[in-house]
Amino acid sequence: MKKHMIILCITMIIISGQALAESADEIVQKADLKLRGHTSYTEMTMKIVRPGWTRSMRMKAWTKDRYYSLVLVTAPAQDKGTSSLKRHKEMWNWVPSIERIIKIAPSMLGQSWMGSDFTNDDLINQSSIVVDYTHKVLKGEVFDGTPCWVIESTPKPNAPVVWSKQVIWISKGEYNMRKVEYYDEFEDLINTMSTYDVKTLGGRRIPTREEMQPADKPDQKTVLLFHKAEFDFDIPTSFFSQENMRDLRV
Amino acid sequence: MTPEFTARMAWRNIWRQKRRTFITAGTISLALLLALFTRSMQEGSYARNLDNATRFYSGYLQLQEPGFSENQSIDRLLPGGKAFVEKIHTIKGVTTAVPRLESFALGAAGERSKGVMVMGVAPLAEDAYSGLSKRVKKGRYFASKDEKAVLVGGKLAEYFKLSIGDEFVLYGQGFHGTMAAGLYEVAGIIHFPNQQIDARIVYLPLKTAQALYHTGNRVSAWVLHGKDVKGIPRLEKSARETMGPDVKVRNWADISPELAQQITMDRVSGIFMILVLYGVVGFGLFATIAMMTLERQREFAVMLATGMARARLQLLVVLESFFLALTGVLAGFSLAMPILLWFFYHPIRLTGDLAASIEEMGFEAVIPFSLAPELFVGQMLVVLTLLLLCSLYPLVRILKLEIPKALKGGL
Repeated sequence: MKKHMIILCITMIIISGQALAESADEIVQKADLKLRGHTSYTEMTMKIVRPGWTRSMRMKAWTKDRYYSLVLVTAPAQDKGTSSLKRHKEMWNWVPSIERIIKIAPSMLGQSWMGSDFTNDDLINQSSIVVDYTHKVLKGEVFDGTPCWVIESTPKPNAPVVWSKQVIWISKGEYNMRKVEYYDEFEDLINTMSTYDVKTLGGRRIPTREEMQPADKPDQKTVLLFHKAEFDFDIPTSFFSQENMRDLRV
Repeated sequence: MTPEFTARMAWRNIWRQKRRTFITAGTISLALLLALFTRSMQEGSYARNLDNATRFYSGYLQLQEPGFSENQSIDRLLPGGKAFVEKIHTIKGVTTAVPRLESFALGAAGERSKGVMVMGVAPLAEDAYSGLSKRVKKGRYFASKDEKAVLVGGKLAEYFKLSIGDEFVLYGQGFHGTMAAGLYEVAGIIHFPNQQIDARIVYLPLKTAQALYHTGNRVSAWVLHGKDVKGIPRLEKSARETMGPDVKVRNWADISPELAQQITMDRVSGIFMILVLYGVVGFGLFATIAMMTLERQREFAVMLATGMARARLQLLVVLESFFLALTGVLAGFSLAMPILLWFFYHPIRLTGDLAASIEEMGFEAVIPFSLAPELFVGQMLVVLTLLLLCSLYPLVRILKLEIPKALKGGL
């Protein structure tokens, strides 16, 4: 009997140990899937805060798997109809004022998206965190009152990525990305993204406020507020086409 | 013995050995001629080339918004209105002030895109100042001050496979976070010898650039020019005083440090060569002075024995060396002056391939000369220093002269 108890104990320890040691890859994958599902639709406001002025833009975004996404600006009036399309590794912008589609060169992926603190890469290429990086759990830490895993992600060799290291806080249980630190090739912190206000949106408990803060400019930041979200609905791949990008009505 | 008498005696003494004096003075004068010729040519080219080279980008000075130089943000701009222009023209010594709006954008044509440097310029004023229209290799210069046309660098045009009349898109961030997007016609292709600029530059009429970036009449820089390079420090000071703390004044060396370094390197290597030359001349002068001292040990001993003060004798010998050097300097100047004057008014004009490559770099294919007085004073100071160093020898020699021994002919 005593022997059985010991075996049981050992088994429980092993099981619970395995549960604890959920792999970093799985955690990141779950968090990524939580935020975008297989398909997603979100409506949001982007606020660009600068010393001396602020600017706000409303937009709608669609994503499908990790290969397709489309972002459409709906306000202010002068930028209405502007859209960004990503298919696999390629990216285009539609600019209605000049009625031209501009292909974004890969070298421009690290540049600011429409003047915000988000890079083209941050906004449209987010899912590459699953594909292009390897992950390692560093420790557990509480962020914004929520226990989180702290995960270090480093790019795989030859991965076409902008950042050479990301440190990600993912909440235990809810698998929400709560904080991401972006590092450049000199190991310098460049940007920090933090998320707040976890609410139920589109049937999921997700953070509804994202803040992107450049490390060297404490007086400026970009805030994303999510108003509406839907997940896992049917949308044909043909939706993510240059023709549709042009034809989308606000 | 009066000083005048000593001087007269010194003058006569150096002509006791006419041939030696001619040779020594001749050496000094030729070295001086060579040094003056080189330095005059160097400083002349710096002044002229700096005047030319700064026109394309830095100007003598630039006025900028204090935060602009940090990251060239399109939000950090200066006014472009009449009141501001009038204020600029109250800066003492300003001859030209041209506005520019410089920023970045994504350039796109067909399926290609690339980050480019956008330069908005006032077509007429800019052409008068920097001769931009002369760089147009294909097509035409801007025809009006607000046409939707661009001039594209040669290498950039190659990258985008652009020809005249093609459309070109500029897309980026405008004033206070607005979106900047414009569709333009390629009016001309310009050529810059600097490959990096050639592969990035896109020129727009100022008004067109201001519309693209939604900046109103603001500009990123006022480029200032003065009468000559020499007056830059004074111009800079006056600009600071006039414009106050809300405007940053930057000089050409601050904006184009590589140009400043190039000039410093060239100047230092020129001066080094001349110092080597003077080293040789210095030993020649020393040899003569040493001879003038050693061969007259007995004469000195007799003079001291008959009651001449050592100090007086020392003065005599120093004066002799001085007259020797002075003869050389005067001969050198009188040889150099007509030559330099001739070249100052008739600078050497280069021809052929060399001229073509220099003109391509935006310089005139001439070698100008400078007649700046500090050049002459500088050379004179070098010769005088040499003379002082060389005279130490006879001074010590006379001080230590043992009269009885020298009278007997021993050294």
